[in-house]
Amino acid sequence: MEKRRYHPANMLFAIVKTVRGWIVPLIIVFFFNNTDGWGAYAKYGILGIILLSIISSILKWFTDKYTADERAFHLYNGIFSKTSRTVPYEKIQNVTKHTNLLHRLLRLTAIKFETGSKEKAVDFQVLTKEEASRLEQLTKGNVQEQAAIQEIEISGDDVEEEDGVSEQTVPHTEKKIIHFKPTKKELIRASFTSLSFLLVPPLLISFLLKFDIFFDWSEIRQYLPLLKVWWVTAFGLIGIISVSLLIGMWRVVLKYGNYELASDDTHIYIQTGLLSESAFSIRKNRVQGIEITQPILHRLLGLAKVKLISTGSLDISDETETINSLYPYFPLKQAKILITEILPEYEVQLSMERLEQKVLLYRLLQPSIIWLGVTITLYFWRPELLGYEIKWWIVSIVLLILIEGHRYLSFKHTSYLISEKFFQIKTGALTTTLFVTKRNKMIEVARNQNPLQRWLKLATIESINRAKPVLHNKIKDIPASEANRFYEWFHQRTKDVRRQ
Amino acid sequence: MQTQVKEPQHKLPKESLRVGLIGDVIFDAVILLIFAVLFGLDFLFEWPDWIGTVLLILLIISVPLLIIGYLGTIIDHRNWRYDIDEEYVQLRQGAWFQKDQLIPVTKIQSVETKQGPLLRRYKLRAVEIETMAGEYSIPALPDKEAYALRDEIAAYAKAKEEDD
Repeated sequence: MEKRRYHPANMLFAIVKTVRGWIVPLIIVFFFNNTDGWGAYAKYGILGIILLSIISSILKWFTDKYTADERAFHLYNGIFSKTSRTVPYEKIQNVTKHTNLLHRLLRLTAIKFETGSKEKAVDFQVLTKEEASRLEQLTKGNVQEQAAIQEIEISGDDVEEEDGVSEQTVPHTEKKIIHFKPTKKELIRASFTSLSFLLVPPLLISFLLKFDIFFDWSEIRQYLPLLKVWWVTAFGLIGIISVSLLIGMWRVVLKYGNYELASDDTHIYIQTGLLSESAFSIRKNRVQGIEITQPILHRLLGLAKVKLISTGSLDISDETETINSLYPYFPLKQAKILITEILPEYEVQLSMERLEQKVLLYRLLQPSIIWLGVTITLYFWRPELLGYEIKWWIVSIVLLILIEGHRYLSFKHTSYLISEKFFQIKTGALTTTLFVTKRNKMIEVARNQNPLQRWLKLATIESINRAKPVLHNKIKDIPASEANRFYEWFHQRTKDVRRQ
Repeated sequence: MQTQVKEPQHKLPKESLRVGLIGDVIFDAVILLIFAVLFGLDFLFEWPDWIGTVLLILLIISVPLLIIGYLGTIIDHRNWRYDIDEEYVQLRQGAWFQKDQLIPVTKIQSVETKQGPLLRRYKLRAVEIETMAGEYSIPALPDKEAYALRDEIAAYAKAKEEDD
């Protein structure tokens, strides 16, 4: 197969990136420096660096090549020392596409194929949309073919399926079902829940304070009595509030206006962003687990954020946020339904085992190092604030109440479930996180016991999952018998795993 | 802790305790040497009085800690257990703070043996196992056993799951 060069616009993007990276030093040396002394050298130095990196990106374009056959990517690069790298498609964990404004202007896009947790991703920073979808199809096609072959092999024996080799019959129908697309109403609700409109007043005030060079405060002062007229004040306030709401809404629309959650037999697709678009796709059986987080406000409103855990990292560049999350303003129940829709092999149980009551006492009675440290420091140091001496015992008591409150909340929210195929744990004091994984997706477990736990017949268990970085989930102080059950349960994992 | 999962049985060899204790002696010697150098400098350059006091207090504190270090080495050695079968590597460490780990062999990426000068003196080798989650080591086994174990793990680890 012939080797292909990357798209020529790669050079343009590289140049833009270099210039943008060096723009601040460039301005500093050109406008804020006299030409004598080091300033002149710095100027040439920076120009030299920029020139060199432009030359290197042009040379890179001439030397770097790639091919994609039906099994793997072959990447060739290096100006002086050449390297070649082969990445088989089975290694691909998830795919992210990103189209920023410059890409859109030139009708191009970027695509990144994430491989395991330790290897580097296969990253195409600039390419045509056709080429991107050709590559994506290639990688997917291979996987589906394999899935089909495996399916024929296993049909007949009822071995538990390790990986969601899809349950439908061959051949696969390429049917994409759209599960969720926010309506206008939902976007409005989301913009209220996100509370991003609260950001506007402080921004407005700091803006006004900073830009007083454009107008004179003393001139404005003469208009102040106008505020006494009720309707002026009312209109002003309404104006500020509606501007805040609009900006908050704009932020939400920018991110979720184009949001779409879809899936077909084998993959899940998430698309987000209005101006610069991002798209994420993952093979269903590459999902290592699900994380449902509820910050305090979400919990009060019954909403939840759902995140799919994948082995590859998820941000395609530093500009984009991670897009492995589902739409973050779902009611918890709806989120649960959606999970069963897109990942039929996952089940999220909302009723879980709690910790024993004695654990609360055990935790409340543990000495807190922070509290001890602060109390002792304040006792000896006695700092003053605004002329008043801070009473050390007040601070100490308040801190103790906060710490014990935190411990109580964390106790109250901690729960776990070890069911036949799944492991669920929920932790957190203010923001709760529910993590669900399948037994065959856990790569290791550990069980710990300290002397006090042994005395109270408690233990700590830990599960490890593939992710980038590797995900450790711990639950402390569950009954020792349960810890043993967990250990044994993991020991039986071979039941759900099919060896190759 | 009682489980129906067979508890790991294999212990570390006696020589490994000796290696551990010699390691401790060397460590202590280095610590005492540092103290000696500091006291010497204090005496030579007539540092402020309080430095001498602080050094003395540190020395007094560290002596029992060093002795506890030997006890720790002995207890750790006694309670170290490992076991390997076709499916899992099991590790257990600690007496007061007990830690059990269960690692499926299919998740093992590499096994290697290592030997430092002390281990060589007693014909021992450490076996290091690398998985996707991290590295684990069985600190000292007789040469032959270490190689055998390495080969055994490598043979088991050949089996791959679909997911990998």
